[in-house]
Amino acid sequence: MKQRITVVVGKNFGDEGKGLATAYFAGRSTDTLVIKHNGGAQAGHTVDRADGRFVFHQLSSGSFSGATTYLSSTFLPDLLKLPEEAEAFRIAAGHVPTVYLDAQCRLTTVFDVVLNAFVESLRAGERHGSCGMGIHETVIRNENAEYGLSLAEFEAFSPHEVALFLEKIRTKYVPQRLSQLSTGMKDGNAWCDILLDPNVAGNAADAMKSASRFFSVIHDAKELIQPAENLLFEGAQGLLLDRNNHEYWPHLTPSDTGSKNPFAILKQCGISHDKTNTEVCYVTRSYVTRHGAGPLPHECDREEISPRIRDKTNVENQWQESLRYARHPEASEFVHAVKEDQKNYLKSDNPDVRETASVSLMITHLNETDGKIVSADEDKSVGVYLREGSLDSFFDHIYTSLTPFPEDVRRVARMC
Amino acid sequence: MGSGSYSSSDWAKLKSSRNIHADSKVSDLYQSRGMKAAYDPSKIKIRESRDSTDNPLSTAIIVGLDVTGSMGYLSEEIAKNSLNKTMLEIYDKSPVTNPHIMFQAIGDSKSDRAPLQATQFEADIRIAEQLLDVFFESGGGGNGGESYCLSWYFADMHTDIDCYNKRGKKGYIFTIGDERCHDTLTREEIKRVFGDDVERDYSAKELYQSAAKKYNIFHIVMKAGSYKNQNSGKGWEMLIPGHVIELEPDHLTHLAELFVSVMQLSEGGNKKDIVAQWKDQGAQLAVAEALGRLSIGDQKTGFFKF
Repeated sequence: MKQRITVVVGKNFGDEGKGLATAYFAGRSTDTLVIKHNGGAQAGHTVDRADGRFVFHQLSSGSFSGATTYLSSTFLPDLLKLPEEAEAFRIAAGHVPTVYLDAQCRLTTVFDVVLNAFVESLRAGERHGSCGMGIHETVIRNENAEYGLSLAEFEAFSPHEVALFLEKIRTKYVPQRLSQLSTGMKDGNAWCDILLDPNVAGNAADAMKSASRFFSVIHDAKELIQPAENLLFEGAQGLLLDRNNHEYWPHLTPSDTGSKNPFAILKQCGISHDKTNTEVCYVTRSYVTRHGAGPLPHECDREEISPRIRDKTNVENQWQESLRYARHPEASEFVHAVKEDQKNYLKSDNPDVRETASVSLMITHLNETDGKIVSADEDKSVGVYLREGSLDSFFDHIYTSLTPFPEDVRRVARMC
Repeated sequence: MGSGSYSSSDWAKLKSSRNIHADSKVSDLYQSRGMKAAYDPSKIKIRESRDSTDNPLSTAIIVGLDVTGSMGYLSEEIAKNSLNKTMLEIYDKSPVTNPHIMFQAIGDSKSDRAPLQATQFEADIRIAEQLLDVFFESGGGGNGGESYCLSWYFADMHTDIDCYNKRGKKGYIFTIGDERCHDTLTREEIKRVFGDDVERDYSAKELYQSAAKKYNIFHIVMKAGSYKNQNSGKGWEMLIPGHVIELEPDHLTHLAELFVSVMQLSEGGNKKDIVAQWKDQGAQLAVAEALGRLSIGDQKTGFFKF
């Protein structure tokens, strides 16, 4: 039984359909391990089913197919929010998925969330497109050895010790961080009320500890990853938001959104990969979307793309504002970021990237655009667009999605 | 991506009082919310409902109310008004002989610091004071998912009731809430809440079946709060078939009549007579609907006699 490895990557700014893609690939096996390796609870991956839709944040989008979730060391879990999602999934599916968290994960705390929210509230017109889930602040705090909190450390703490640690963050780190951000507590600001409330640390410690019932801690990920028949990496956000994508700085997410983490994990586990067992699938809608602030080439009105678009996952919130829409670039520029990302799986002894993994493209939301790709010059059929950019030979497989449902995804060998 | 964010109820939970203040010492940080020791199940070895000269034929009745967030204003409404009236009606109508009432506030043993509180069994209006103590002095922070089976475990393991032990007659447990019951009660939760060392986790079904040997058990599902998104009615019907009553918040005014009627039915009363005794037409409707869905196949009460 050969191991099959699939890496799901968002091609743009998020909201491409990674939930749909993950659910589709997870549905191919009864023994699937989904690895979530970047971002944290801010991700919102939707899976639509005949009897309703579910938005995944920390659980994997393969959960309806019985997939196991593993949050790798580069994922930033929010233990406070995990129980709510697990309970909601239990109600939707009748079971709670098996979830493993890597002991080396760095944890988000409620104070990261509040700091993030507070700072964004002061920024007013110059928002950075944050989801208000504290990811950026989590990363910054964990760079500070004194205030960083790994899952292994959290495990070793009693609830009382967790409360004391959180209180140390609140009373010592928060003022320090605020002065670093050239601000201070503001009277009457609701976020500051939380930062000043001495009850929060104890309540948060209780809530975090009680989340432990929903997962197991794993110290050596090899044991989990090596035997999995269907190994699936579910990336969050999109390639254009990658922290190293200088073109779009500072409106980025503080993680590696592409295939860097997945291939690093495979290497750590001593798993070899080539074209026959490994596929990297780049996911895009038939048009481009982006949240909140930041540049967006070829931006246009939603109605120009299709009057039929109705996005239910992206309810407007205070931090993200509404979803923005754009056309794809000319076909010649379509795989610009993909080519950059491919450097992550180029083997030094084999410069031909095509031998180290097969490369595929999944185009979602085609039903909203009459099966066409909305590109900068005009709407084009998938085949015409790909041929124009010589992309029909670039991708080994093309997947098309004409409904919101994973089971309706179709694989097209070549668009001729 | 917008959903799944922190909501106002998350913030309310995080800010809920632990009886510490801005000038509290760090060592005070982990003080629990105030639960009076008298109602703390870990400090209660046994609650007794005894026969006495005044009450030679006592019947133990436990009424447990979900006091957590999703019930919202309803739990306050029930505790302040409906239960007060229910208690008076039970003492007055005596659907069972010499009722002894205990109130319980039920939370979530998965996350709550005070997931269960239990009063004494009382034969008279003295219970009213304890009722208010239990429901309003605790602060009752909001929590998701409820542990109604705590009530059953407590009744099974920590009550000594003469009605059953001396006379083989079952007591009553009524729990009220909007959510589904957690599937299991873990040994860690049992240790934490009751201080008991047990060998293993127990499923809600096991706890129910065990407590049902001593008590007639019913659950009233409030059609409010999380009722709809958890499909609570169905969950309860699977857990304790035939012993579930679904109640519209509008019908809360008839809770007293409902309790009395359900006990009368369990004691072998005739459905038609039971419904007919109520003069208020709304009460008749609420009672008829509730009784219509119950099926109490208990040999000892002689029900299902033809």
